[in-house]
Amino acid sequence: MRTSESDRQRFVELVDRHQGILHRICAVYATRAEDRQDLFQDMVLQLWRSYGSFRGRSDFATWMYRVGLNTALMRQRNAARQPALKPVGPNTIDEMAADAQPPDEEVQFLRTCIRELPTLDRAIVLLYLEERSYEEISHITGLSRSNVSVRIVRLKARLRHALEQKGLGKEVLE
Amino acid sequence: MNDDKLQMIWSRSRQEEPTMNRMTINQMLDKSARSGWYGMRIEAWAFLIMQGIAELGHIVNLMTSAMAGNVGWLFLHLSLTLLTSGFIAVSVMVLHEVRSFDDGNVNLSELVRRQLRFFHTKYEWWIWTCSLTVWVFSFSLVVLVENQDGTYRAGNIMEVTALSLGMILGTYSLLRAGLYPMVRRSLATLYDLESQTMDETRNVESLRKYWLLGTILLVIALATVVAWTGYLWLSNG
Repeated sequence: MRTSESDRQRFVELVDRHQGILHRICAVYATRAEDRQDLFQDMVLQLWRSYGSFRGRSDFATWMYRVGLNTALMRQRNAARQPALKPVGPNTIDEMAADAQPPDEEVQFLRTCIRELPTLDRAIVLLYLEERSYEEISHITGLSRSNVSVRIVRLKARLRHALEQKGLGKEVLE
Repeated sequence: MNDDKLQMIWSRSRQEEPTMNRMTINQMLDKSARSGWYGMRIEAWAFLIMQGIAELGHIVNLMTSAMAGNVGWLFLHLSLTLLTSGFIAVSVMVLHEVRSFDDGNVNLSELVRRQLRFFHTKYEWWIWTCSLTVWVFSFSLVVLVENQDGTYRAGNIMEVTALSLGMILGTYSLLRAGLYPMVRRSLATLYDLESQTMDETRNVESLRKYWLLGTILLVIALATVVAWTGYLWLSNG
């Protein structure tokens, strides 16, 4: 791991700029605020540990998705054995969430539907919703492009159906 | 119906995101988080320490045999010293491999495949070396304490053989049982990755409780063997 102060500051700057990615991963992999905060910290630490081997061969955001999703998926697999991390400082996600705007009903419901999906499908649908290309999704997950494409078609249909059943998203879905 | 509309709904979630300031992110880097492989690391370190102690015991036994000029025992201790050195090397290799599982740079498929390869190769050798380590450890210490001029005579050779086999196979079964849920979970993830089936991971989770019960029973069985061994040694002494 690179340990120089300038590397650290550069890393913090990059995470700060792209932190929305981590928040959105947290939103689909953790339900409770404290779990989201633990996951966020886990992802930041994992990114920092792996930063030494990030050589800028791919876009920082792509690399961030990959490391973040790997951490979220592995954390889910080991959920029973994972102790909670000590919250960092007074500026926790929980407290910040109170300042953030409350989610609208459609967004809330879409998140709930995504959380109902198996862990890997959550990653795929999240990357699709984040407007990542099929190539990029394939690169991040290690799935073939055709597999990604088939899964996305099925997952989109499932989400659309759920929104329709709930009577949501009419103005945007029609 | 336009599919991109799902992306439109999703894009609204960005407006609601909390913002973490740089100071908080910076503070996070000074925290430590337990690896998901923490349990396995502890297990590997425990065996490594046991192997280290056994190795020291062998070296002392080796010197005792050399001073006593007992060629047969000298050869035996030399073999055990080399064997334990090999075990130590395998444990170090396992620790190194487990550390690599925390590498976030590889894609998920590759990570899961790497884990499965490890479970079917190096980990398999390692649990055999661990099973033998328990025997080698106890042999080293018993000979160290109870040798007479570099020679040790077992009271009842059949009992000692049966107990040794019980110890080796018991440890192997215990470690193997602990491994099974991990392999099943990795296989299930790989299966989900490579096929269209979605329910495999959930099926595996439901099997987990049965493996937990099996592991508890094996622990009890192994503890009984160890207690019996201790009792026999004490009563012989």
